[in-house]
Amino acid sequence: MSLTLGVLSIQGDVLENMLSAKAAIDALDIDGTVISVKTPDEISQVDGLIIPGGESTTIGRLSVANGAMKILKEKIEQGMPVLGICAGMILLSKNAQDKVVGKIDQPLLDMLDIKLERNSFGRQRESFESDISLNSIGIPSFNGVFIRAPSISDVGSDVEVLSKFNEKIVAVKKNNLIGVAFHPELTSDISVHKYFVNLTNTLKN
Amino acid sequence: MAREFKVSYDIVEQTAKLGRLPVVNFAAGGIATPADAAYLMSLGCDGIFVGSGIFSADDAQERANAIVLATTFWNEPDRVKEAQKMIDERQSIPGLDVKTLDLRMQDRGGSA
Repeated sequence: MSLTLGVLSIQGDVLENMLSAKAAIDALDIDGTVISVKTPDEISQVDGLIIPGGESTTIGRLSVANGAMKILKEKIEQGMPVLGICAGMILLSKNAQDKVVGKIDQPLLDMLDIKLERNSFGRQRESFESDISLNSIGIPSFNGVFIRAPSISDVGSDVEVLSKFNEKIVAVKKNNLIGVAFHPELTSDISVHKYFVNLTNTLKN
Repeated sequence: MAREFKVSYDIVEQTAKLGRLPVVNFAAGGIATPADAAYLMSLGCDGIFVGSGIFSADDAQERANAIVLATTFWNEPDRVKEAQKMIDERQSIPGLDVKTLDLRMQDRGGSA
């Protein structure tokens, strides 16, 4: 059966992720489509989901408003793979602190046991690119684009660290959930998307 | 096609790949209600800016929330209707009729 990958399209880097995911599906020669999803009905159709970068409070609050948050939690508990990018990783986390504004109250999916800090590298003007490696998933070198990025200071025992930058954790994995602090959809390298497509496809079949 | 439209080949290529122009298009000016916002989204805008439509209304906070909901869920008519019901239509800034404007930009001249 054909693979259906969704990109949560409430706010954020939707189109770029749809293009990267489609390119990954084509490169892997998998029979699959990428759709943008927003409503609970649309979310229920996908085999895997990318939660894109954006503004995590905005995505979170609006996901609560239309009931998307509830079905997201249900599907993740049932094993749906999710790639959470930047804001998407914040949404997957259990709790988040903000380096700039301190304690925050925002709706989260509460799925990844990680201690997360928003705006960890500073404000917008401190955004940067750097070469990083995700060796344990077979990506030795990747151009990480960090835009007002979060980082992780500590992980629970069930969470695997995939990558660090300057001693800060910037990529994690727990079973079918992947969180990255950088934006793989903004580079021409589709390795991370390919890894996620492969993971989703393997679980489906 | 690049020659016909007098644009760079790169932009034509990007536009073809994306199926849309490679720039975001935000609508602004005269948007006062959730329905206005949803309508502009349905015409293909990527987002909406609202200034006086919210800040000159007495129900600013509720109106801001309602316009955000209508913009996000613009293609779900029931949600737009719900958002529209959050505001008092009578408090919306009045629309201007082009036919009765005192001053029209095209008549204003370059030195004004």
